[in-house]
Amino acid sequence: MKQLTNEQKNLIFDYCIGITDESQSAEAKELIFSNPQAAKLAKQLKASLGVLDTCEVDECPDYLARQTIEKVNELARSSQKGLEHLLAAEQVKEKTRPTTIFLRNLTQLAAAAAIILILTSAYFPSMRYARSKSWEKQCQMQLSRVAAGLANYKADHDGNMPMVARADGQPWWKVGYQGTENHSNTRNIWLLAKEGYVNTADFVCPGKRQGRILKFDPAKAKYYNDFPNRRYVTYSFRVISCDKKAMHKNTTGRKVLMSDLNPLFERLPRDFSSPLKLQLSEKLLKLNSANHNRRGQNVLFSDGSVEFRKKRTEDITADDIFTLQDTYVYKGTELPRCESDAFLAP
Amino acid sequence: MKQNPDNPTDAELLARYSDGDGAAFSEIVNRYKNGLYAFLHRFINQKDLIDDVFQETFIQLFNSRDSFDTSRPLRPWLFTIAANKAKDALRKRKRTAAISIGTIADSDEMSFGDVLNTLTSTDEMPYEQLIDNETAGKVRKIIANMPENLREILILAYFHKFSYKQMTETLSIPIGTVKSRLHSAVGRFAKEWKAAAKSRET
Repeated sequence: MKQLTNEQKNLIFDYCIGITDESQSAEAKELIFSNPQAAKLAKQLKASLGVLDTCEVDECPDYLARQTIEKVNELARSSQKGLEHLLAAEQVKEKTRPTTIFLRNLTQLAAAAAIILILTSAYFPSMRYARSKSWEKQCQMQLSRVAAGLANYKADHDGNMPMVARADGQPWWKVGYQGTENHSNTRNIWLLAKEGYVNTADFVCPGKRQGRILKFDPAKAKYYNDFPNRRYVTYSFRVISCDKKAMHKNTTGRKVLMSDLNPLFERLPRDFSSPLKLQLSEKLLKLNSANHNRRGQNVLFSDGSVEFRKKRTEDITADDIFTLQDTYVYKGTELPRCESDAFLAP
Repeated sequence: MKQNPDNPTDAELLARYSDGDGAAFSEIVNRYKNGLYAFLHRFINQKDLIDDVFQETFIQLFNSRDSFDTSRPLRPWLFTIAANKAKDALRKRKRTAAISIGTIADSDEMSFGDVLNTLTSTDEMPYEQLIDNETAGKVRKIIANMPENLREILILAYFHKFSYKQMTETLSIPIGTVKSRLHSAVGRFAKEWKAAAKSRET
């Protein structure tokens, strides 16, 4: 019988210790099954090492985990308080003359604290800025992937965009409602997720904290007519009525297709049977999307490009992408009157 | 990185904690408390020290939260902190109480062949006969008396199933050293266990 190689012995050793990965374990099992020497070695190793299994340990006591969390929280609070205390001391010091060593030390300490504060105030905003920039870019990439998904969908469906039949005058705001009478605007875009053209994670802007990524299960998804919940889709899409299907096919013009969540409809009735009534205000007319801390919104165009716009209007037409022209009260059933009136709804 | 709300990654939890979500750190503690506690229990084997080192480990994690590289897994990093804290605590105790604890053993390295011979020699005490209340205590004692570098690697590999890569990261040593040290640790344990079993027999 052929002797086991060192490599094979190592494999059996690692397997008996329990540190092999799936494929190595499969290899080891096969070796043990097919080679009596390997089987003997494994048996002996397991017998020798098995005694280690008696060395069981209780789970971490609850009090220890609780105390640890309390300590860390206290540390977090005290580091904040300490800084405030030093700053207060610095203010007191300015009013008095430092005549003792203690006060001199305090001065040094306060100076150090002030430096820390300055550095902190310079560092943290820049960190926040970097993070928000990163989310902004990530959001753009997601929208680009949606654009790619749309293009693939069109290629597979005779040039048609994803679109579910709807009648004019039906509410487009009931995102998440699974009844057949649902006419939400997101049902169209849900087709991209349902049919695997776009990953569900790409419908959640990384800058929107309330957003949640839908764990996609094709078996369950086939029973859904829409995203199961509003939090799984934190973007808004162009509202199009059926008689404008032609516009869907027409890709010559550069049109707004999708953007970060429309700020007008951030709060919608939870109860789908409740009516929606929204009166436009001065504030609502200027508000940017909440997805990026109101700094602006990423906008996806029909040519596949994505731009971060600090204002809500399209460049050429100056059309507000979040409102309908000449409409100041919204019941959630309104539709654009002309092709040039871009309107992105939940 | 894509987020999963049901099972956020360690990096996501740390990021959330940095953003002011206090519950995220609690989640990290709860995620690792049992594994870490078991590691410290086996590595230190002194109840009064375990609690301190356990808390110090998470405090160190809190203090270093901003330097955490989110592209790397948290588990090896956390165990590195715990192992270092545990070694410090044991050294401190040794200095003050002059208790004999295992030291670093490099000269005691065994070849892989020796290790296999020790493990597979026929003069072993039947394992089944030794499964009684004393067994766990004896095993713990043998582990506690092993040199700390061997003890550490044996615990990480056998009890916590760290892969070679994770052990390399945790211990900051090359993979070749990880392998030879693990062989030595297992060989050493087997030798000590057999000696203990024999003495009981006589």
